[in-house]
Amino acid sequence: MPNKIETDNPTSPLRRTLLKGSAALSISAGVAPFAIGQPKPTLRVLGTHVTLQEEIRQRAMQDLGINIVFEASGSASVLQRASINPASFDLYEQWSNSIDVLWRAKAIQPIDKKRILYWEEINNLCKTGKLTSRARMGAGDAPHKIINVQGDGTLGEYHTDNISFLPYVHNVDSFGYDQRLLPTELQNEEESWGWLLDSRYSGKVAIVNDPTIGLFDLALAAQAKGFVRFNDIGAMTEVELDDLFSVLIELTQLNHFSGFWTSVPESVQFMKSGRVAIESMFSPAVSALNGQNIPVTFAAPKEGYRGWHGVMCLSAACKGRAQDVAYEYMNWWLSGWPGAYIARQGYYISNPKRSAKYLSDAEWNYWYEGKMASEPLKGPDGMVSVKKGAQRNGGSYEERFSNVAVWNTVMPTYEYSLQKWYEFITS
Amino acid sequence: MFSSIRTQLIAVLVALIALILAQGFIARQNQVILSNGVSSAAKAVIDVGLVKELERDVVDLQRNVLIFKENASQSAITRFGRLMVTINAKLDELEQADSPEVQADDDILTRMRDHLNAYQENFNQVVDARSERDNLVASGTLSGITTLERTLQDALDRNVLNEASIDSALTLLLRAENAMLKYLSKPDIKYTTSFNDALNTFQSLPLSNDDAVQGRIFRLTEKAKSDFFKLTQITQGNLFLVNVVMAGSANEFLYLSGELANKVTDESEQATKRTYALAKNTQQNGELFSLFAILLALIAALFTTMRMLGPIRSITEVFNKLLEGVQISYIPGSSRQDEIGNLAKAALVFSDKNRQTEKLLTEAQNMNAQLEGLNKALTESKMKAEQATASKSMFLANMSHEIRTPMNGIIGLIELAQNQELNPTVKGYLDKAAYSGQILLSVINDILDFSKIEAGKLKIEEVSFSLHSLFDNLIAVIALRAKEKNLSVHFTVNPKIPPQVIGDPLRIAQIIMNIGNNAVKFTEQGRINIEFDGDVDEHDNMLSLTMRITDSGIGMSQSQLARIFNPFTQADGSTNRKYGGTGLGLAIVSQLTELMHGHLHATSTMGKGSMFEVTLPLKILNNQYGVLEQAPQLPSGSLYITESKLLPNSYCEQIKLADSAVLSMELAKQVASLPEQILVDIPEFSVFRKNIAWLNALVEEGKSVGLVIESAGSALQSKYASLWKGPLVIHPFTPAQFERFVNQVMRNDEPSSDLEAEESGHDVKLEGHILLVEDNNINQLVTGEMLTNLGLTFDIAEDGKQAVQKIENSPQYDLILMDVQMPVMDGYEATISLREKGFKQIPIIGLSANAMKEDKQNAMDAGMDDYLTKPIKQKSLISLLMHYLKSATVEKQSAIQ
Repeated sequence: MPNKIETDNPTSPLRRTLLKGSAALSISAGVAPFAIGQPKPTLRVLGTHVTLQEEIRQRAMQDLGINIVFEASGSASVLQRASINPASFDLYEQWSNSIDVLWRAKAIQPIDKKRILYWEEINNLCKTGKLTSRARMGAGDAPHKIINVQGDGTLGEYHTDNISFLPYVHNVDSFGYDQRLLPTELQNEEESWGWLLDSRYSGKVAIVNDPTIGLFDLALAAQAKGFVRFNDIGAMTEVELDDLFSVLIELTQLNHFSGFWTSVPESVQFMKSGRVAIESMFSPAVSALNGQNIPVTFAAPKEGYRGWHGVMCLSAACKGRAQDVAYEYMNWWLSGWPGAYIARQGYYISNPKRSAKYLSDAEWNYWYEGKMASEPLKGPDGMVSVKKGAQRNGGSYEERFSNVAVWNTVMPTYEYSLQKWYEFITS
Repeated sequence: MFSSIRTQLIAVLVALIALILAQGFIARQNQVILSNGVSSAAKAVIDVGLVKELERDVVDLQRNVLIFKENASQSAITRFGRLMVTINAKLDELEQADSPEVQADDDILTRMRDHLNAYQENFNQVVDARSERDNLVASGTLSGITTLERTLQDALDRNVLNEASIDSALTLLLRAENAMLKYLSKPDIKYTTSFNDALNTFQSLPLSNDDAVQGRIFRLTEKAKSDFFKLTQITQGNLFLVNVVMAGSANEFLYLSGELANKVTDESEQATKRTYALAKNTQQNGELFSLFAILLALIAALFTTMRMLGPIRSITEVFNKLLEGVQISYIPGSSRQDEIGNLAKAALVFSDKNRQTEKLLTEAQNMNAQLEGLNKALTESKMKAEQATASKSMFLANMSHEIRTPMNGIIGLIELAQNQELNPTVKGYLDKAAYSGQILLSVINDILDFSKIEAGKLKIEEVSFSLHSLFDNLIAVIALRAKEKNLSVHFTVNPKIPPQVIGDPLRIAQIIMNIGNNAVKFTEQGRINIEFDGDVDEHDNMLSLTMRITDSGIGMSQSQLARIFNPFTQADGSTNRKYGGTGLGLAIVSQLTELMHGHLHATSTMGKGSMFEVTLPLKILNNQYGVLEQAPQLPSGSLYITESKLLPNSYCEQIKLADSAVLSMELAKQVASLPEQILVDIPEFSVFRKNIAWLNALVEEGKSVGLVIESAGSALQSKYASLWKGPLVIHPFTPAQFERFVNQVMRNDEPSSDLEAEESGHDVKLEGHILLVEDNNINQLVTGEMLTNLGLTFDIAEDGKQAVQKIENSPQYDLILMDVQMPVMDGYEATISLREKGFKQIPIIGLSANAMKEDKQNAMDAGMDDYLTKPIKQKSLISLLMHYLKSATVEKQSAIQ
C-alpha cells in the first residue's frame, strides 16, 4: 500500500460540498441538538475494544441524549467490514493503519475540520508529525502523513480543510515484562526490543497477532539483536521480510514463542497466567495487570517506541441527520471527559489540555508529565493501577512521543508479509 | 464407681469397639478415596482423549480452510461445518464433564470456544469474500476489461478511434488484465500498481475525439479500477483473515487444548498422587489405629490378667484351701475396693464360717456318737422288748392248748358232777365252779387269741362262705344269752346283701359275737338291735359289709370310749368288777378288723347305750340274689295287723306288704272280710292270749295267719308254740327263718317242726361224753352250745390227729362228732385210723358242709356211722344223738332201776 503523500488538487468538488455541510451544522452545535418530538437518533460505531468501552458509551449517550450502538470486533474483521460495507456503520474507530484501505475503498468521507470544535487545540503530532522540535520522526505511516485530504483525493501532509480521520486516542507501545521473571543478566541492561528474541526468554514470549503491529515489534527486536538490518523499517522489502521471517520461523520452531494474542484481555491473561514473561503489549493491559498486583513493566526500549494513532472515521454512507450526530460524537470525544477517561488507561488524547481538568494533578503529573505518582491512582475500573511513587516508564507524553521508532504501518509488501506471517505463526 | 471391675472392663471393651468402628470408618474412607481417585483418573484419561481428538479436529479444520483457500472447494466447507459441530460437541462434553480438573478450566474452555466461534465467523467471512472475489473476477474486473476492449473495437469499427493509439491502448488493457491475473495467482502490490498504471495510462490516451466515446471509456476504466481495488481488498482481507486471524485462533486453540490436556493430565496425576497420598495416609492411620487397638487389647489382656485373673486365681486358691479345710492366715486383695475385694472379704467370711463349721462339726460328731450309743441301746432295748413280747406271745400261744385241755377237763368234770344228785350246798358250789370255769375258759380263749394276734400267728383266711350260717350262729349265741336276761333282740339284714362272700367266717363271727356279747353283757334291760347292711360294688365284686349292734345299755363316756379298744382295758375299773371279763374282747375286735382292712366305729352315750359299727370289705361271688330277694311276695291286699311294726320296713317291702295294708288289731277285728294272708304282730304274750280266739277263728275261716312275735324267754316261746299251730317268727330271726315263715304264710310250706323240735328238744336231756372234732372255733362254740344244752359233755379235738391221740389216751367217749374237712388230718382219715386201731364200737358222726350224696357215701366208706350236714340243726343233731345215746331220764330211770 503506498504511503506516499501526494500534494495536489486542494480544491476538490468533494471538499466544497463538505464545507457547506459543516457550516450548516456548526450553527446547531452547542445548543440542544435535536428538536423535541423527533425520535432519538441512533449512532452506530464500529471499532475495537480499545475505545468501544461501555462506560464511554453510557457517558456519551447521557451527555448527547442519543442512542449509541457499539459494534466491537477484531481489527481485521472490522476493517474488512468497514471497507466493503460503509452503510453498516456511522463511525469507524481504529488505528491509523486502516486509513489507506478505507480511503481507497471510498468507505469513508472526509471530515470537515470546521465542524471539529476543538481542532485548534489538537497538538502537532497529527499536524506536523512532531510533538516537540526535538522529536524523532518515526518510520512508517506517521499520522500527519495520512490525515490530510489532498486536492487530488489522496491523503498527504499538506493541510486542507478536510481530514480523513479525527485524531484522538494515541499512544506509544512497546513490550511489557514481568519484573520478577526478568533474567538476572538483563536486569542491569537498558530495556531493548531485543529482549523479545532473547534466548533467555525462550518459550515465554508472546507477540500481538497482527502483521501491521507485531511485525514491527519483531522487526525492531530482530534489528536490535542484530539479526537483520532494514533500509526503512517502515517499508520492508520482500527480501528483508524473507530474512526477518527466516529468523523468526527458526525461533518458532524452537518454541521461542508461547503465543500470539489477538486482544488486550488475552494479553493480560497470557501474562497473568505466567504463560509468558515478556510480550507485545498495549497500555491498558499493563494498567490492568498492575491493578492486579502483577509487576509488569511497560518497557521504554532504547530503540524507541512503536507508535500508533487512533482514527475516528466518518462512513461514506453517513449523511444528513446521522452525520450530524456523528459530528456531535466526535466533538464529544475531544470535549475532555473521554480523554481523561482513557488517560487512566495510559492513552493520550490529541487535545490533552481539555482533559486535564478532568484529571487530578497527581493523575496529570503521572500520566502526562511522567512524574512519580504522588498518590495511588485508580484505573477506569476503580482499582488502584498505579501505586504511590510509581513512575511511568519512558517519561512524559512529550518525551515518549519524541522517541517513536516506527508507526503501525500497512507496508507495500503487506500481502507478502501476510503470507510470511502465516508461515511464521503456523510453523 | 470406676473402681468396679465391671465398669473397667466395659470401658476397655467400649474403647476397643470404638477403635474397631474407627478403623472400619477409616477403611471405608480409604476405599471411597481410592475409588474416587480411580474414577477421576479414568475420567482424566477420557478427558485427555477428548482434548487430543479436539486437537486433531482443529488441525483438520485448518487443513480444510487451506483447501478452501486454494480451490474454493465446496466439500471443504461441508467438512468444515461438520468438524465445527463435532468440536462444539466435544467442548460441550468437556464442559459438562463433572471432572473438577476440567471444570476449573472453564476459562480455558471459554477461550477455546471464543476462538472457535471467531474461527467459524472468520471462515464464513472468508467464504463470502471468496465468492465475492470470484464474482468480481468473473463479472467485475475481467468483464470490465473485456468490455473496454469491445468498446474500443466498436469505436474502431465506427472510426471514432484514433488509430495511432489503438495498439498501445490494447496493449495497456492486455497488460492490466495480465497484472490482474497475476495478482489473482499471487497477491502482490506490484501487480496492483502495474494494473493501475496500465489503466491510468490507458485512461490518459487520447483514444477518441468523440467525447461520448472518450467518456464511456473513462467510466469503464474507472469501474475496472474500482473493481480491481475491491478485489485486492477482498484478497487482502481474506489473506489477513486466513493467514493471521484464523491461523492465530487455531494456534491459540491448539495451544489451549494442549494446555488443557496438560492440565487435565497434571491434575489427574496430582489427584492420583493425592489419592495415593491420602490412601497411604489413611493406611498409616489405619495401621496406627490397628497398632493402638492391638496395644489396647494387650493392655486389656494384661489388665485382665493382672487385675482380675491373677487375683481371681489366688482367691480361688484361697477358696480351694478353705474347701480343703486349710486355715488361711492371709487373703490377697482384701484391701481392694472392687469385686475382687468383695470376693476376698467373702473369702474371709468363708474362712471364719469354716472355722465355726468345723467347731460345730466336731460338736455334732460328738453328739452323733452319743446319739448312736443311745440308738444302739434303744434298738437293743426295743429288740429285747419285742423279743420279750414275741416270746411271751409265743409262750401264751403255745400255752393255749396246754391250758385249754385241763380246763375242758375241769369244766367237763364239774358238769358231770352237777349232774349227780347232790345236796343243794354242793350243787351251789358246783354251779359257781362251773360258772367260774366257763368264765375262765372264755378269758383264756381271749388271752390266747390276743396272744396269737400279737405274735403275728393269726392268719386271715380267704374262703367262700355263706352269711346265712353266720347269721344262724350269731342268732343262736346272742339270742341264747339275751334270753337269759329277757332282752329284746332284733336282727335285721339288708335283703339285698349277697349271701355268698369270701373272707374269714370265723373271725367275722368272732368280731360280731364279741360285740354282741358285750352288748348283752352291758345291757340290763331294753333292746339290742343287730343290723347287717352293705354296699355292693358290682364293678370290683366287693361288698362293704356293715355290722351294727346298738344296745340300750349303760353306755360310756367319751374318755372311756377312747380307751376301750386298748387291750386289758375296760371302760373303767368298776366295770371290770361288776361285769368281769378280760377286757380283751374289743381289743381283739379292733385288731381283727384291722387285719381284715376293715373299719371299726363306736359311739356311746353314758346311760343310754352304745353303738358299735364294723365295716369290712369282702369279696363276693358274681350274680347272686340278695339274702331275702328270693323270698315270696304276699298277694296284694294281704294285711299286716300291728300297733307298732315288729317287722323291719325293708322286709315289708321285700314281701310287698304295703304301708296301706297295716291295720291295728282293733280295726282289723271290725273289718268284715279279711284277706287270705294276714300277718299279726304279737308284741307281748298278753296280746297273744287276748286275741288267740280271734286268731284261731281266722285260721278256722281258712285264713293264713302268721305271727310275728317279740323276743321272749324260753318258757314263753314254748307257750307260743303250744298254743299256735300256724306260722310264727320270734325275734330274733334270721332272713332264712323269715323266708321260711313267709313261705308258710303263703302255704307253700308246712309249718316246720323246727321250733317244735327245738322246743321239744329243749327238754331232751341226754347223757354222754362226746369228742367234738372240729377245727372251726365257731363250730366248736355253736356245736358245743347245742351239746351242752342237751346235757352232754364234750371234749374238743382241733384236728383228726388230736382226735386219734385223745381217743387212744382216754377212750371214754360215747360218741365222736367228726368234721370231715380239717387241717393236719381230715375226718375221713381220722375215722379210718380209729377204726383201724380197733375203736370199732364208738359211733362216729361225720359233719360236713357238703350235702352231696357222694360225701355221705365217702363218710360211710371211711367207717363213719352217720353224717350231718352243716349248719347243724339242733333237731337233726338231737334225733341223731338220741339214736346213739341214752336219754338222761332213761338213764336215770335205768340207773334208779
